[in-house]
Amino acid sequence: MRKTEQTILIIMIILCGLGVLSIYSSTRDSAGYGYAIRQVIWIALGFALMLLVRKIHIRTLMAFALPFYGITVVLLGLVLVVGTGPFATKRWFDLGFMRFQPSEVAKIGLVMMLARYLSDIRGFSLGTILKVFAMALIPAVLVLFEPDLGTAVVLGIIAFPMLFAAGLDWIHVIFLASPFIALACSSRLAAWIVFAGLLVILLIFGRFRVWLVSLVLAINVGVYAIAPFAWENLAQYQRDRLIAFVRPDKDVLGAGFQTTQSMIAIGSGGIAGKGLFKGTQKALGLIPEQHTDFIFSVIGEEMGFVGSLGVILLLGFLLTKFLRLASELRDKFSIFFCFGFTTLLIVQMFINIGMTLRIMPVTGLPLPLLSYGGSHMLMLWLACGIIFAAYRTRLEY
Amino acid sequence: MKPSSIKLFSFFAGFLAICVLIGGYLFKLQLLEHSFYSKEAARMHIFVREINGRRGAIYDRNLMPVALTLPCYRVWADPCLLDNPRDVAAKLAPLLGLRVNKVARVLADTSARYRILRQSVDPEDIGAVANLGIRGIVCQPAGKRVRPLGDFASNVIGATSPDGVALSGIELFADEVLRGKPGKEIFLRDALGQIRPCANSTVQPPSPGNSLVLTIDAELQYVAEQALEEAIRINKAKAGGVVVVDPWTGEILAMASFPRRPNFPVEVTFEPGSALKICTYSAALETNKLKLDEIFHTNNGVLKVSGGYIRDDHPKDPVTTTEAFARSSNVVAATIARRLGQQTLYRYLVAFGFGRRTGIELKGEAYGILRPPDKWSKRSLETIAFGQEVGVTAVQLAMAFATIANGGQLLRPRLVKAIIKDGWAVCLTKPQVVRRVIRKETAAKLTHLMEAVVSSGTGVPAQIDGIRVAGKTGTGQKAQGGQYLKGKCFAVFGGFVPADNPRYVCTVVIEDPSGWTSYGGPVCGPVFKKIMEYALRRARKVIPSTATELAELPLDGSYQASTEAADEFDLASTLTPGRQETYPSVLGLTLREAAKVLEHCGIKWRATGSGLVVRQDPSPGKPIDGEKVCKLVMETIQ
Repeated sequence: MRKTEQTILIIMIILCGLGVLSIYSSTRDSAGYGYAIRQVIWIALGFALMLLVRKIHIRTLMAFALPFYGITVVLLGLVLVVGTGPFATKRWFDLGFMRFQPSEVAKIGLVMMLARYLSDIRGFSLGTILKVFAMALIPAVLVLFEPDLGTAVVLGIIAFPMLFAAGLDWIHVIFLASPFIALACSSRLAAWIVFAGLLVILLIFGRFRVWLVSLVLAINVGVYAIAPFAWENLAQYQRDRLIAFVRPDKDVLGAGFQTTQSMIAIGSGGIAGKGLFKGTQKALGLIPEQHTDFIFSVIGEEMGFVGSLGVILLLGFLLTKFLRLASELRDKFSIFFCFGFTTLLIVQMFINIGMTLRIMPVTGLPLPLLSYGGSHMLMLWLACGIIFAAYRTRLEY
Repeated sequence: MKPSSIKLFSFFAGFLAICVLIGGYLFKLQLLEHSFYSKEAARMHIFVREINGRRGAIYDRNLMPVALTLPCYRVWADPCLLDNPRDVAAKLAPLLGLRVNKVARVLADTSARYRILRQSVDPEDIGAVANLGIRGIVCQPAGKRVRPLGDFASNVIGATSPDGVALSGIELFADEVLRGKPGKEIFLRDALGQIRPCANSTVQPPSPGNSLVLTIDAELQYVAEQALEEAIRINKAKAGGVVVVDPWTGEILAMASFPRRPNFPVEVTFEPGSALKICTYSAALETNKLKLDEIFHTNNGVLKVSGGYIRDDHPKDPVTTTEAFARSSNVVAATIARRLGQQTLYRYLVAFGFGRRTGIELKGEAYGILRPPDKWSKRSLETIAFGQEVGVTAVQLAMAFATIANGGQLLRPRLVKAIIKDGWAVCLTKPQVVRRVIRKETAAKLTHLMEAVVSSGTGVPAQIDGIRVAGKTGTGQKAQGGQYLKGKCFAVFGGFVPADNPRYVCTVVIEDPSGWTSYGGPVCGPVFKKIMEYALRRARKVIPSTATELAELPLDGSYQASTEAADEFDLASTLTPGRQETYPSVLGLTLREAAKVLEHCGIKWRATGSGLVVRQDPSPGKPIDGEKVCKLVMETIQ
C-alpha cells in the first residue's frame, strides 16, 4: 500500500472515529451504545469492502459500471413501490437489520456510469450532452419522487463538474447550468432579469451559432415560465424548507426551528466547545436528526470552533488528496470517477454543513464519513476502494 | 486526456472558496456571536421555577396546633433514565406501598419524563428510597398540610389545596404571612417541554412562612361546635352559628358554624328580631328619652302603624321599662323608636356596627343590611326598632353585645393573636377600639335590663346556677320577595356572663328550627348556657381574669366616625418586628416564648410558677416606660 493511500485511509478513519464519538454523544441518552456500535460495524464492513474492491482490476470494475447503474435505477424504481421512510416518504428498504437506502448507491452508480460514458466519447456534441443529462436525470427524477429533493439536486449537479473535467468548455458548462440558475432565480423577477440580461450579453458577444443562442434563451425563458407549476408540484414540506431558507424569519411549520436550534448549538459551542458528551442542546433533544443530518451541530457544540474547523480541514485535506491522486492517474475512467466522487463529497459537505449554518436549505444529505448511516458508509468505502484500485493499476496505462 | 492544470486549479479554487465560506461562518457564529448564542442556549432549556417555603403553622390561643405543614417528599421518576424499569419497580414498589405491576407500567412508559409515583412520603420512609440510589428516581422535598384536630374549626381555619395554595379562611386571609418567601429552582426542559432532573437545582433557598396564633380557644371551640350541632339536631334546624368573644379585647374565642361552609357567623345575613332592641333601648337611654322606672300603656299589646298593626307575643298592660324589655314588647320598642326619630335610631345602629363589615380577618364577610332613613318606608322606624327590615351577621351582633358588656366601646373582632417567626412572636395584635357607642352608665342600665330577660323574661332557658347572666332573645323572620315566610325563621340569643363582671360574650343563631318551638329563648338559650357554663367552670379552675382593663381611648365624639380604617386593616402591614410602644400580651405563652417576646421589646421579666403565663403586670397595652420590668405569673393549665 502506497503512502498516498495510507494518508487517505488515516484521515478517513480519524473522521469516522469523530463521527462515531459524535453519534454516541447524541444518541446515548435515548439509545445507549446502539447507534455507535452499529456505525462501527458499518465502518468495519466498509473497510473490508474497500480492501476487497481494491484488489479488483480497474477494467473489471469499469465493466461493472453499466450493470451497476442499471441495478441502481431498478432499485430506485422498486423503492417507490415497497419502500418506507419518515413522513410518508419512500426512501429505503426495511431489511430488518438495516435500512437500505438505494439513493446512496445511486450516487456512486451515477458517477461510475458517467465516468464510463465520458471516457468512451471523442469530442462533445449536443447528442452526447443530452445523453449525459439523460443518465443523470433518470435516477434524479426517481429520487425526486421518493421524495428526496436534496439527493436529487446532488445527482443533477454531479454531471456538470464531470463534463467540465471531461473537457467541455466552461462557457458551455455555464450554458448548461443556466436553466438551473434560472430556476433558482425564478422566485424573484428582478434576480431573473439580471441573470437573463447577463446571459444575453454573453451570448451576443460570444459569437455563437444562432441555433445555440436561441436554444439557450428558449430553455431559460421556458424554465422561468414553468417554475410556478413546478412549485405547485412540490410536496408541502419541500416548499416549507425552501421558504424557510429564503425567509428564515418567516417560520413555516417550524421548518426554521431545526436550523435555529442547530445555529444555537454551534454558536454556544464557542472556541473550545462544551466538551465531549457535555452538549446541552443535543442532550435536550432540541436538534432533530442529530446523529444523521445534523451531526455537524453536535461537533460544533461539543468541540467548538477548533473541532468544527478541524473537521473541515480534515475533509478538505482528504479531498485535495483525492484530487492529487486523480492527477496521477492516466486512464480517463479512473480520472473522471475520481473527479466525480470528489465533487460528490464536496457538494454533500457544503450542503450539509451549510444547512446547519443556515447557508443552505435543509435537505436530508449526510455529512460524508461522519453521519450515521449504513448505505452511506458502505458506498463511501466502495468508492474509495475503486479509486485505490485505479491507483494500484495506474502504471499499466 | 488529462484535465488541464488550469481546470484542476479552478476546481480546487472553487472548493477552497467553499471551505473559506464555511470557516468564516463558523468564525462569526462561534467566536463573534458566541455570547448571544450562549444566552439563547441557556434560555432554550434552563427555566426558573419558584419553590414554596414551608408554610407556617396555625395554633389556637393556647398554642395547640390546629394546622401544620409536615415535611415530606414527593417521589417522581424520569422513565427515560431507567435502565431496567421492571427491576426498579420491584425494588421501589414495596418501599412506596404501591403495587409492583402498577409501578412497572408507569416506569415503562417513556412518553413522559416526569411521573409522580407518590405525592407525599414521610421523611422516615424516604431514606430507604434514596438509598437505592437509582438514577432517574427523584425524591423532592415537599410539604404536607395536616389538621391534627380534623374538621375542627375548619370554617375559621380554611383550606389549602394539596400543593399548598390557600383556598379559604384564615389560610387565605393570612396567606402572605403563612406562605413565606419562595425560593428559586432551575430545571431543564427538553424540546418536548418535559421537565428533566437537574443536579443542585436550588439556586435560592426558600424561607419558611411565619406561624399564626389564633384567638380561638380550641377547647371552647370544640364545646361550641358540639353544643351547636346538638341543638340543630334537637330542633330539626337547617343551619346555625355561634360566636364567643372576649368583650374586653375583641378576641374571638370560638366561632362555630354548621355546616362548615358557608362560615355562618361571618357570611350569613339574617334578621335579628328582638335582639336588636338592645340598640333601640341603648339609644333611648343614652339620649335620655327613656327612664328605667317609666310605665308604658300598650293598649293590650297592639299598636297601629302605617298599613297595619304591631302586636306583642306576651302582651301586658301597663308594663314597666324592665318588664317591656324582658317580655320583648314590640309595641314599647316601637313607641320608644317614635321618641328617637329616624335619624337618631339610624345613627345608633351604625354606631353599633350594623350595616358595615366588622373587619374580622376573614375574606367574604357580609355587610348586613341597613338602609339609610331616606329609603325607609312609613313604618320602618317602628319595625326596625324590634329588628325587622335589618340584616345582621352573628359577628356583628356579638360585637354589639360586647359593646354593652365592656361599658360602651365597640371593638374590632380579632382572630389573630400573634404572628410567630422562627419560634418567637414578632407581632402581637392589640385590642382595637372602633368607637365609643354609649356611656358606661347606659351600658350598666342595659345590663340590668338584659339580666331581667334571663331571670324573668324570654331568656329563662339561658339561666346558669349561681351566675348572673345578661342576655336578649330574638326571633327573626325570613322574608322572600317582600313577604315573610311562614314557619321559617332565625332563632337568636345573645348575652354575656357574668353580668357583673363580663368575661364572655356569646351569640347563638339557629336557622329554621322546626321542632316544638322556634323562639330564640328555648332554641338558643340552652346552647348559650352549655357553652358559657363550660367556659366559666374552666376559667374558675385555672385562668384568672383575662379581662385586662381596656385602656380608655379618646372619644371621637361623632357616631358617624368612619370605620374605614378598620376595614382596611392589613395583617401583613403589622408584621414589623421590634416596634413596640406598649407592653405586649404574653398571656397563654410558655415562659420561653414569653421571654423571647419581652426580650425582643427590650423588657426584663420575672416569673413565678410554671406552665403558661396567666397573668402579667403591667398588663398588655400599658405604655412601656420606667424600669421596663414585667412580672409574669405562670400556672399549669390542664
